[in-house]
Amino acid sequence: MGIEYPVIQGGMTWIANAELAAAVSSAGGLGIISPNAVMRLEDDLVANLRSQIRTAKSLTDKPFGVNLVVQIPGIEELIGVVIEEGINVLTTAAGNPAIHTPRLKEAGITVLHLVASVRQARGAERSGVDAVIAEGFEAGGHNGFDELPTLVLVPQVVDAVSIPVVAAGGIADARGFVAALALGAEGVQMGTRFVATHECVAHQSFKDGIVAATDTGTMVTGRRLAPTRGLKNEFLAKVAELDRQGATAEELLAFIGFAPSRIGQLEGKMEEGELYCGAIAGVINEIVSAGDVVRSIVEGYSRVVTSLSKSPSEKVG
Amino acid sequence: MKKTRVCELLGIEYPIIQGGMSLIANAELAAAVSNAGGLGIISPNAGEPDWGTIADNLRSQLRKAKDLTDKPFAMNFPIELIGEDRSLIDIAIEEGIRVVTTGAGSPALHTQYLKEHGVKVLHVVASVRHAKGAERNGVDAVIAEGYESGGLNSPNELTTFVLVPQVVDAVSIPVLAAGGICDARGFAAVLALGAEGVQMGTRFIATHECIANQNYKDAIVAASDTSTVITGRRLIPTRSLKSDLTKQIQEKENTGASPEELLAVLSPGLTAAAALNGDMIHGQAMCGAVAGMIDGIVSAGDVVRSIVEGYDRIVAGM
Repeated sequence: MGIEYPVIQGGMTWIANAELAAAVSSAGGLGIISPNAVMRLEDDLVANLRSQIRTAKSLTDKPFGVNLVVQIPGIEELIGVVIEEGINVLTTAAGNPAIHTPRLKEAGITVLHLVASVRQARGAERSGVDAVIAEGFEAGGHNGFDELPTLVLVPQVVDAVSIPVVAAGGIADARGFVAALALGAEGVQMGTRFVATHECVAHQSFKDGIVAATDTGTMVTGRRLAPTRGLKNEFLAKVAELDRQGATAEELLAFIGFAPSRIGQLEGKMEEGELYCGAIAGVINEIVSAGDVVRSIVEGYSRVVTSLSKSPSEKVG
Repeated sequence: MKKTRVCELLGIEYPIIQGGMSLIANAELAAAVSNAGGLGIISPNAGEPDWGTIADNLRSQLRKAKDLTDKPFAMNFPIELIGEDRSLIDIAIEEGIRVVTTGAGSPALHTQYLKEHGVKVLHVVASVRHAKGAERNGVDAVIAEGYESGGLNSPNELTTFVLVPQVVDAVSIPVLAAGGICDARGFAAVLALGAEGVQMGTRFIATHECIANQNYKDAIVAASDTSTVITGRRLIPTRSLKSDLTKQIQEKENTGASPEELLAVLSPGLTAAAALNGDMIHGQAMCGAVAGMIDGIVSAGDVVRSIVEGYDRIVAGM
């Protein structure tokens, strides 16, 4: 991918904006833009993506990527913009990688596909993707039905495919980075850690909510429909109650409605909105710059590795 | 291989502990782990589903293990099961046990008593709050057990990957990691997260020395990444191998069944039926999410040795 450090910023829906992606890429990692970053519901998704890409280009000379949820309507047009704008890296998720990967590869784009099980990883490799992002149950937002945590998912995916594996879910610092590498990953993707940065467009209340979160601050709801991890709040308590009562998919959809994650994350509606957040939020204790996140992992890496061969042990931070 | 405070604390060579799995953490298994330089743990009910004869069973297990090893080994006491009764603890102390793991209950109940008798206490925790509470109660180390682990689980659902670093940051006593570990990669990963040792359960079931039924061991070896499931979220969350039974429980849960309706499906002998009798259809086979990585039945000593050898290789490669 032509980056210095194998540290990728997740393409979080609504809030993976150009300024964030550019800051991560400028620091030597790989920033990723979400097509719907910052936009209002009535805005045009295709135009929004183009404008985000152009903003990022004006902010950095380094490569950055775009995240595409391949199931959504209008995906062909979004792919068209990505190709026209000369984007070299795509992360893709939530859909069959066989459909679009050939067109992307023909255009010279490196494709990283998100997987949550060994079967999905093998399928993605067969479809010709360049790498898989093995995302564990710890991750914020939409999650796999199989609930495989990073610690068991990553080594099994590494054993199953021969393309590089990037670990995601539960990683926010150098300790997690080294742990993922020990499991056989060749890089990490982090979402929640990059939300709590100056450059991210997420609402200040949401960032503060991540910093304030403890180990038990997140939960998974919607296990039968679309398992999703977020910060505990009134909205999730209501969804959990519907889950408990055995509500049907239709009933759940009717309650969840459209884009509560937008008002939660962009507008800071901390109780009515949905706040996608990973289980690692408890270790995030301050809002920093995105570049510092990358640098602290790079610097912490050698310290953690050194501690692994030292006896008696010393705590590492 | 790195020496940690856990090695000093327990007088063992490698900070690798075998979980004290109910019904199947038997003397032969514990002795084999300890002989290989780890710490074997015996469950009071090993091989004996009848709780009425538990005292005799415990004594005989401890004596058998002493015949098989000169190295230290330990006992596991689920506090929920023994309650305030110290008769089993007293037997363990009489028989010379110097390390105990406790879990599923308050560490305030027995920790001081155990410490007064020269016994080191390792308490299983599943959240930062539990870990701080255990440290305040004077335990010597905590075992931070994640959502990946087999058997009874915490409703907090914190995975090992996020639980361990947060517990490490919250307490100053040593932290062992449990849940989702079966090889050198997992061992190195949790040490990177700040743990000073590991406890493994499922990996040690699939060994020659474990008393578990052969069908149970074979099912662990056959398991893939998606073979385990959590059921009983509203009672006590439990991770086990998927089966007709777990499907039945899930169907009830998905339609909003009451706790009473769920308990009606869960008769008390289900774990023993799978673990000891090998009934993999009607029984409940407790099993960690890591089962997909376990590809063969080996000796318990080889499990320990493969981690020790693999660890140095992984660290050297970073």
